[in-house]
Amino acid sequence: MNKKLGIGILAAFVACAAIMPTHVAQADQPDEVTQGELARLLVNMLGLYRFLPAAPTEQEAIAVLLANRISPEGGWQPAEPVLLADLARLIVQSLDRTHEVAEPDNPQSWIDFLVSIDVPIDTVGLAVSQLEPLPEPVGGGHIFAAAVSADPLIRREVIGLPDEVERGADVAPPQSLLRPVTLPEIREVIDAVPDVPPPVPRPTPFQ
Amino acid sequence: MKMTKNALTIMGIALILPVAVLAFEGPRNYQIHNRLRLEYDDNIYESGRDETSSFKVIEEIEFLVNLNLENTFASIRYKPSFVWWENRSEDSTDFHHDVDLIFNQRFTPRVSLDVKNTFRYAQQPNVIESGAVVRERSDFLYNALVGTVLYRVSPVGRLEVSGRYNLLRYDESRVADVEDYDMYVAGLTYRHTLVPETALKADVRFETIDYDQIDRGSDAYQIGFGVEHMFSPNLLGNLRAGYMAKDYNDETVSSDSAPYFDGNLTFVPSPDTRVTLGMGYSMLESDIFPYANQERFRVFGGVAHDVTPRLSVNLIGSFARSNYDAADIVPSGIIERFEVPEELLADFLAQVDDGKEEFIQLSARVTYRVNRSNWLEAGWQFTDLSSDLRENFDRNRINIGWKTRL
Repeated sequence: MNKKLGIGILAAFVACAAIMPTHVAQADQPDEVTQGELARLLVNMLGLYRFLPAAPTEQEAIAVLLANRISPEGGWQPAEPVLLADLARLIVQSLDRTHEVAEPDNPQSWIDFLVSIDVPIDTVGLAVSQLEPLPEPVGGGHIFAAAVSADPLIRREVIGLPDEVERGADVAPPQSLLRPVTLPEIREVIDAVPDVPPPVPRPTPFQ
Repeated sequence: MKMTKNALTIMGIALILPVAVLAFEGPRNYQIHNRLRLEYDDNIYESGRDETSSFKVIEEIEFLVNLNLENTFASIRYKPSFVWWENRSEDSTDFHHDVDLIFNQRFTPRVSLDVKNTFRYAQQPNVIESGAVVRERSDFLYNALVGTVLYRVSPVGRLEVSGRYNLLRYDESRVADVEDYDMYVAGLTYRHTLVPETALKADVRFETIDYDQIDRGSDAYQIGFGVEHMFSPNLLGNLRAGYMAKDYNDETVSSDSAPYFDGNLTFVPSPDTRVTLGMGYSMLESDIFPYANQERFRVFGGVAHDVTPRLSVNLIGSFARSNYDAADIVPSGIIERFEVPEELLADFLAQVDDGKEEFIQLSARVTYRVNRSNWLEAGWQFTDLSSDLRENFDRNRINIGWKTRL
């Protein structure tokens, strides 16, 4: 019964994927891109999505961007529209060229730097399309967040190899904790079981 | 053998697909990195007695391709790793494969589909002493496929319908009999944004796990609530909590229920420093045969700091404590696996106590960026297992490495 319920929910998932697009009315595209929406775009382009659950929220996307030193001046405000100065700063950070900006405190300096290296920022889409995956992405705490999660949709989605460090310690204790109990340990348990007493010999009749 | 063929087929696809996409999309959408590490490992078998140390050479090459269209994003990452062990007599080499696939499709501004697949294939040789297997670690294949349909019901509300299929397969039949499993998860989540800084979530999960031979499987249900909050533009947190019930496939094991929670904080105290903290508690599948359940509490913390624009330091620590209840032992598994006569089963079970394990991981890593294409790194990892149920061990790994973008 339970399995049927589970299979039913999975089937509903597939059905939703197939049917929803044809039944939902098209909504108008918003005129402005918010910081939260930009965060989701950046996570994809910078190769950070694999550290996050499927369909991450804007806040989850922002958290992993913060871990990778990518943030508008004054921090992320997901509902606020993206301004040109913010976009320039985020693109430079995403290109990992922050230290090349002449005057980091001057917003115009970030725009000028992008112009100097021929990166267009006329629109968000155009600017983001210039990005490449980060060469040294930081998963760190986000990998651990998946490892500690109680959510079965997320739990242990990342499994670590013995030599995979992912910018920190191994993801989970998979190798050591996936192994069965060893034979000596089993023997110890079996040895501890009290022996079945030997059959008591019948007294032989006195001759 | 069949598993190996399947794995190699997937690897072949993983290799061919990036090349095909490259030909279509041009050079800006891909990256190739090479990473070479030299490592000293002081306990390669994770043993509490007769520790064996070894130097290792670890060579990894990573291919990453992104395909970004107007409403579609796809990404594939393939990372084969080769490891050579200086002092591992039974097999001096390992070859591992990682493949990560991501596919996002936006059908309309309100409806989108996100799919992720995580594939791992790892070689772990057994250790044979005097003809007996003393540590059963075997080649394994792990795959997790997760899909979510996201429907934005209003500007502040979104509904997620999710499914997950997970499998674990060991090459060696003796290990596979007790460890191989299939896990299916279905989930429904509603997220409502109260104010731009705060969102509330309600979710339901159903999970079923089945083992191949000796059935430690179960059906589990979760119902819970969550909150995401931005305390400030540089401090984010989320918390999820609820109640969970579990029915075991083996009817002789009674059902369990317990609360669960998990949460984490991301904090950026200065432009050069990032801090992540988190903890979680829940019931989950057991890693130790013949237990069918464990209750695990885990806490972690990490700090990343840029000493200079070129020099970064990462520190991470985690602590996990798992409790195993003797009442969650599957009796049929003991009879089949250990060939314990039924008349001795009660005595056998009486000898098996509740148990706990504590696992500590610490890591420190320093990275120096030489230029835009080269990085030097040095790291230390420490792991420590204290267990009532199996051999305790601690392990140190120290490495230096060079990563380059090709």
